[in-house]
Order: sequence, then structure tokens, then C-alpha cells
Amino acid sequence: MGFDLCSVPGTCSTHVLCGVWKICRRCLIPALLPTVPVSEDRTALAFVSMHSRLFRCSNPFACTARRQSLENQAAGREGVNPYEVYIPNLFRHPITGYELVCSTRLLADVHAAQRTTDCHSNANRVGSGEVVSVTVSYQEPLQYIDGRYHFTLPLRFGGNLLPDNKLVSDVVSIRATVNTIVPNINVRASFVMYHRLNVF
Amino acid sequence: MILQLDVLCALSAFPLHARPTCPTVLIPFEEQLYSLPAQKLDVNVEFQISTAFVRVTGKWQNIAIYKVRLGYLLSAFLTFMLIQWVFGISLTAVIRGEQSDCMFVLPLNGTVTSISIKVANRLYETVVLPKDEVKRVAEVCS
Repeated sequence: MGFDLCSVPGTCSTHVLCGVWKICRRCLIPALLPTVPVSEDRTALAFVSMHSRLFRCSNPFACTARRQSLENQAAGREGVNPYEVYIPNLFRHPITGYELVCSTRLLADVHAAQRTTDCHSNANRVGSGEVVSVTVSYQEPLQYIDGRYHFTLPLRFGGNLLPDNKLVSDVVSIRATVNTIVPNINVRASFVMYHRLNVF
Repeated sequence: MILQLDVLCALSAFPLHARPTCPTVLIPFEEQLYSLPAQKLDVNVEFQISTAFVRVTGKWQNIAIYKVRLGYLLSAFLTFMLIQWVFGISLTAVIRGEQSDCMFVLPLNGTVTSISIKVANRLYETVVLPKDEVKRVAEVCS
């Protein structure tokens, strides 16, 4: 069965998904299944029993997941690990239990720091309600166009990527420091209507 | 055993081959990637003439609610007890399925120098090591 999720503008996506659905007070919501193969044997046990029970597509081409699977089969990409697919200009970092444990051990050994590590293989994944805090640092050469250096950071949030009743300005804050070799500079934001620019 | 994951709001799916349009944390599901809502995103940029040194700090909350149906839980308990008895698999590790792997993605045109990920009281950090310390680290890893 397939449903179009877009019932309330701005709260639902237009993707057609397949699965068990429930009616909430605002929109149709999908029931999703944990298919992340952290542990091969454990996921397989849960997934095989769930897959046949919950996923019934009357029209396989209406289901995005099924369609994607068929496309992957046709293109010979079946079984491609999403962590290893090369995508230009996109930094990806998996947050998995195994890597968290091992990496924490590594840092603790190298720097002799006292760090608390949970040695359960499944304990460091992201649980329900938990908050993932990520701090990433990177450097980027600026594009020089029309006598100006341009810095671009993609911040186009799609539907439902922000908490309810919050705007982008409530969530995102940008602070920039400009160090140049000339005293007078002119700082501009490309889309003034969307950015409130304070220079101090 | 059926683990039912109710999402509080409809999540947007990213195709694997597409490039996300914002820094986000994704949950893979059915060969699709769904994004967690961003709670906070702070961007600190320092421009040194023609190079930008960027520090992005964000918080994303896993809004998924995992439910275990009682009837299936009982049958699953008996099944997994049998599995545990036969294969020695830890039952607690099997039932503890209320978690998901995630993936942090950041579209950029530069080079990432460090990343720090904190989930509850678990911390993951990267450091840049000199070449002469790489062998020592490799020994520690092995």
C-alpha cells in the first residue's frame, strides 16, 4: 500500500512510502523498521520476520524503497554499502556502536586519558530520544568571483528537518570573522532577505 | 519479534546518490536515508584571506519511538532463549534493538580536519597525528 504523505504543507514530505501507517493528529506517519545491519546475525533474525509481515506493496512502483531496490538491481548496484558509495563534495561519517567503542579506546590508549567506554557492541548507537552532538572542523578555499571571495555553506533544510514551530533562524546561527590584509572590507550576504547580517 | 518504529513526523528521505542540502544526521532504512530534525546548528567561520576555517556544531535528536508488541515479544523471548542456548548469542544484545545506526553528512567543498561526535555520555573524537606516531597508533590498534 502506498500513501502520499503530503497532507499538511510544510509538515509532510511528498515522498510515497510503503509500510504500516498510523493516523496522527497532523498527518499520516509511517511505521519504519530498523534495518541497519550492525550485527549481521541479529539484524537478519529481526528483519526476515518483519519484512514479510509489515511490508505489503500492492503497487511496487508506488513504493519508493521498492522502486529504489529495483533500480539498484537493474543498475547492478544491489548490496551497495551506503557508507562506501562515493559522492563528490559530501563528507560522511557513520555513527555506529563498533566504531565509537574502538575509537574511544584508541584515544584513551594514545593520550592516556580517562574516558568511559561501554564495551557492549550495541550500546553506542543512537537510541530513541538521544541527542547527537557533532562538531566538525574543516577548511575550504574561497571562490574568487567578480572581485569578491565567496563562501557557500548549503543550509537548505527540507520539510521536517527542523523541530515543530521553529524557523531556520531559531536553529541556525552563523558567526564569521574576517581577517584580511586591507583595512576596509565589504561583507555581504547573497540572500539578504533570508539573512540578518550584523557587522561589528 | 516485531520492532515497530513510529516516527513522530514524516521524515524526508534522501536517495543514496543525491547530495544532502544541509548538514544533517541520517538514518538508513530500506535503502533510503531519513534525516533527523536539527535542534541547533552553529556555524563559526574564520576567513583568512582566501581560505575559510569553518567549525560547525550541531545537535540532532533521534525522534524515533521503538515499540515491541507484547505478543511477539513473548514468542521472540522463547525463540531467542533457544538461540542463546544453541548459539550462545546474548539475549540482552538481541532485544536491545531500540537504537539505530546513523550517519552524519556534511556537504562541503573543502577538507575536514577533525570531527567530534557525542551521543549521551559517549564521545568519539578524531585527532591529526604526525607520521612518526602513526606506527605507534597502529600497534595500539592491533
